[in-house]
Amino acid sequence: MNRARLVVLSLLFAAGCGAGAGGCVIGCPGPPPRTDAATPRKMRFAIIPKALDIPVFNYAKIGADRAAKEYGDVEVLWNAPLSADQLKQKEILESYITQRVDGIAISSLNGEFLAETINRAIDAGIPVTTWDSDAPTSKRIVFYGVDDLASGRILGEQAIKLLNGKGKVALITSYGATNLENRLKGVKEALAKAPGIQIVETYDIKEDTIRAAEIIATGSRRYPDLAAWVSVGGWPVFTRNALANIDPSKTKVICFDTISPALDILREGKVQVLLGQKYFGWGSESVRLLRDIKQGRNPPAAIIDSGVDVVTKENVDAYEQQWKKMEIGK
Amino acid sequence: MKQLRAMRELSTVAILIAEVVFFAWYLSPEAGRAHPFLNADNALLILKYSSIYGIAAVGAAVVIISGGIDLAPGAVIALSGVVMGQLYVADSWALMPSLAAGLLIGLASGLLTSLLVVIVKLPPFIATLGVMGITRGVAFIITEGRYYDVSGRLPPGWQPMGVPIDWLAPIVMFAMAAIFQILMTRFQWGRAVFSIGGNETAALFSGIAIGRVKASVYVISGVLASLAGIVLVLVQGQAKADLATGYELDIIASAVVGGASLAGGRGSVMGAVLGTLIFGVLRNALPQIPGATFYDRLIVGVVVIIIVVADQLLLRRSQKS
Amino acid sequence: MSLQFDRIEKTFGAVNALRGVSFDVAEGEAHALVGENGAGKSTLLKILAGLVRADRGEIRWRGQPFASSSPREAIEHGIGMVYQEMLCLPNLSVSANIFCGREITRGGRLDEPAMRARTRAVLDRLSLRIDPDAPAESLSAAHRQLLQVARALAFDCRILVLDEPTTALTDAEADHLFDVLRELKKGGTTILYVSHRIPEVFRLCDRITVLRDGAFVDTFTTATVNTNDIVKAMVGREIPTRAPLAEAQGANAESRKGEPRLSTNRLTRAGHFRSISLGVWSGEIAGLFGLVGSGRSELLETIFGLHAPTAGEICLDGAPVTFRSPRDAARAGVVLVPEERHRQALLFNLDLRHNLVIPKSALTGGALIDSRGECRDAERMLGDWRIKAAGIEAFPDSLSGGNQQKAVVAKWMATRPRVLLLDEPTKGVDVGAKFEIHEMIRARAREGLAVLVVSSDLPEILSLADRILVMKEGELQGELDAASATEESVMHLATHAVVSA
Repeated sequence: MNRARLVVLSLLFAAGCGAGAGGCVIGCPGPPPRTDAATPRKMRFAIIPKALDIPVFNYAKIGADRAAKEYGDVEVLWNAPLSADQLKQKEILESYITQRVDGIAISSLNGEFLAETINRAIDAGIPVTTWDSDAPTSKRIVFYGVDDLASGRILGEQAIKLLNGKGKVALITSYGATNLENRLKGVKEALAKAPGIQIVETYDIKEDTIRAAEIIATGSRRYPDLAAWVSVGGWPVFTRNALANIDPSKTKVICFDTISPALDILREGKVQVLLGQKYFGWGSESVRLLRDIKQGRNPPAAIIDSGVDVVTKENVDAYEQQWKKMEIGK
Repeated sequence: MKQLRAMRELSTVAILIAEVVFFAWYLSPEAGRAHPFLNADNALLILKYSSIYGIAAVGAAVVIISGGIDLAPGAVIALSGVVMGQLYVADSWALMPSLAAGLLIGLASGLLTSLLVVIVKLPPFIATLGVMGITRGVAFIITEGRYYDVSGRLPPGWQPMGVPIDWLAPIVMFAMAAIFQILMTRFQWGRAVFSIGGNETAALFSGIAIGRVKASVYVISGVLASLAGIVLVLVQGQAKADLATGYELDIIASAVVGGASLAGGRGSVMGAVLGTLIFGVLRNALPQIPGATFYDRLIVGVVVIIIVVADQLLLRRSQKS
Repeated sequence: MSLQFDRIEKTFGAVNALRGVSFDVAEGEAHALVGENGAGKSTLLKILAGLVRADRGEIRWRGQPFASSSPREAIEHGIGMVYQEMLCLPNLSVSANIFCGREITRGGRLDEPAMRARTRAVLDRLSLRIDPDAPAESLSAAHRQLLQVARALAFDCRILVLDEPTTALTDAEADHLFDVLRELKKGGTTILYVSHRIPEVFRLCDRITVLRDGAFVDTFTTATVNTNDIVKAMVGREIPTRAPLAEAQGANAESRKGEPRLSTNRLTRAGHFRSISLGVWSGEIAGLFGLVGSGRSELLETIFGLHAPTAGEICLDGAPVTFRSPRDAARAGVVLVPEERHRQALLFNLDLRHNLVIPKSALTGGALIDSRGECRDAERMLGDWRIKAAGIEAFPDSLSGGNQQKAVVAKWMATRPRVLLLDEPTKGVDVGAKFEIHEMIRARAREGLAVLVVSSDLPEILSLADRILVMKEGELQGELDAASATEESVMHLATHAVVSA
């Protein structure tokens, strides 16, 4: 045996790394160019959604990438646990701190749990913003997203309107995410105001879209005279089959999120009201806010309400047009 | 071939060094910025998160060297953490007894596996697959989907034996690696493990107490996995039933990259720990390359294949000479 | 003369399996092929069956040379093989077994009805009342053996080759088989019959060809010879002059006083051996001879603690003992040098030093490895046993067969055993090492070791042992004193034959 093999083995490995790293998505830079004083260095922002397998966040990525391209001096590092896992998200947050990124924007699975780590980032000089799901007890600089409580109330009010204040209602949520908890709270608050409305059950979908069909089937069987499904997340409309057996004349569906194919399902009549968030905005606004902060311009308030879009049969076409524009870039 | 063995260890170190050098170069920042990869905090972070795998990988290496395999570590990590969490947080036990209970879980699962493999004579793959299911299942039954907030109950700024908690994980890993490296190379027991893995029939015919030794490796794997689980919960602050899902494959891959052959009879404990570091560095460095997030699994797979293939080639060359 | 073997040669590595074998088989006759273990019969059959290619020489059928380069081709040439080891797929049906690998298809799909019909036809030809769809594992051993014959017959075969077909059959079943074979002969099938059982050969076959040490000896016409002639031809080599010390060495009947060091009392293991009672005294070398399938290895393994006997007992110095594992046995001083050193004795992932010291350390060592002490011991063993290796750090695969075997014997002798069991100790070992190993065994026996050697190599047994026990099909046939034994007398006991006046 000789050293040659040692060297070969190590080189092979390094080559493997290099090949993998270099063979990234088109547009991925090679080793960073040696900059001279003239070229300003890029700001590296880590944008961390709740998980990589939640479809809504793909649009945030599109928004973030677009904003980065427009500004030209921003590099987006998009990373999250493969599926919702609080511990893994904390791990990722921690690594970006030790890797000295220039800014972090995160949608927290558990704001309480991440608060300490977020504070550590701030203390280390890295600005942190949150989006979609806040970590209010931390020192994060600003939150961009819907007012969950308020939007939950809107959901509930829309439901009351559709049912004329009377009927049995089943709720769908996913335990373990703070923002969803707040939305649920809002829904319940609103529904409480209508004495004729009775919440028969609250289902936990465990962030698994595939289970939506199962839950709706179970619930419909259990409560044959159910008047409405109210979902604080878009799971029932992320796939085409979940609402297949719903009879719109008997059961209404009021749901969060307008991600495809939700709009189609709305047009089909299976869902009556959708609440859209600013999906692209999560990404693009986060980039803008972080960039502003880095350049000395702090945001006006600690909470920026992105607002929700209430989408019904009446305005769905206009909404979709606007959507397409944002998807491919203005 | 002793040279081969020494060379294999050396090559694992070389791979790790080459990897670090590569990423240090690839990720080097523009002028005026701190290096995102090559800094003390980041190194500690890599060590911290690799240690969970590393502690269990020591046990995995011992089992693989004996010619067996253990698919249960991930599940044992979870159950040990859950039991500890339940006792400490929900039942308000003191910390030490809760930790001890967690370790007992590892012992129990190891004993169950030994029973299935040595007495019932199930193939280790099947036996540990079953234990994995049982263990993970019990964890879910205990927690019913909740999690225990352990960090909430730990005294703030708690430093076990005067050591900051972030250092605890790597220290335990290196301690276990050192202990078992010595046991495997300087004790009769360790040689018996190599013998059984190399040729179980010949080992039996040579007067080695096969049953006892095989039982011991599975017990060790179980206890080390539970140790990893306890460290995980202390470091991360949460105990829940879906902890460490899928870890067993990374753990086995680490042992294999570190020189263990799945056929048995070859490998090293130190190598397994180095293997976990190799993957830990990869997991830390890749997300720093924009767009590389989704390539993590692919690259890990490619790396394992390259290393195992090179390993096989080296072995065949040495056998011919 | 229709099947002609012309100067067939085959060498495997260092072993000369066939040395220019030539003989003829008449079409439509039943021709026997006999010889000791290692005479070359199986190799010749493998060449016919297309499993092995001859190095030189030619096989001719009706004057036309042919060679099969695969079993499939052999079938196409009309050769039907019935093997000793039953090639049976237990979970498949009888007809599936018969057509395995040669299924009848129609348009790409299995034609079950056709296969079933052909199966039925073949079974009828053999007068076997078996259901073609029955799972093979439901058949008795005898029927499974006949299934092999059916398999060969299912395709028109002109030459039916049978290798030890009656090992699992009762006399009645063997008779049935012979009737079938005689019918086939009448129909023009040529039969090549390989067997150790000389009486059978005489019952069935027209002519007998004898091979010895890979060479052709002679072809006899059955009607004109008797079993003695055949046995003589099988073994008739020079009996090597016994080592000059042979007379002085070893225990003779007088010195066998007191309890035997090792004895067995009606030791039985169902399916392998029955009611074996033997004794081995300190200082003597007892030889155990038998042909393949006689149960000798299983006997040694049972004594060594690998298997539990189903009846009978094992005694050390007269006191009964139970060994639950080789470790138990070795601890009590009973050690085994097994038959297959690659599979059963050597650890190829560890170097020579480890291989040499493991039994001793495993039995008597402490928890910690005493490297220096072990290296010293290993070096000494290399010298004592004249093991040629590149040092104690060499790996077993770098040693020759003879040196590997010496290492195996050495490692056990280091444990200072009281009983040494050896199973084919010089199999695959060159002549030089063979001699050295024999010398060393004799030396240890002189020092008081009780030795039981199993071997199918007659000269080895005759030169090494003081007493020769003969086993046949799981039972002890008899015992011969080495001084007066001859190769023929041993062979007689081992092959069913009765010594004629």
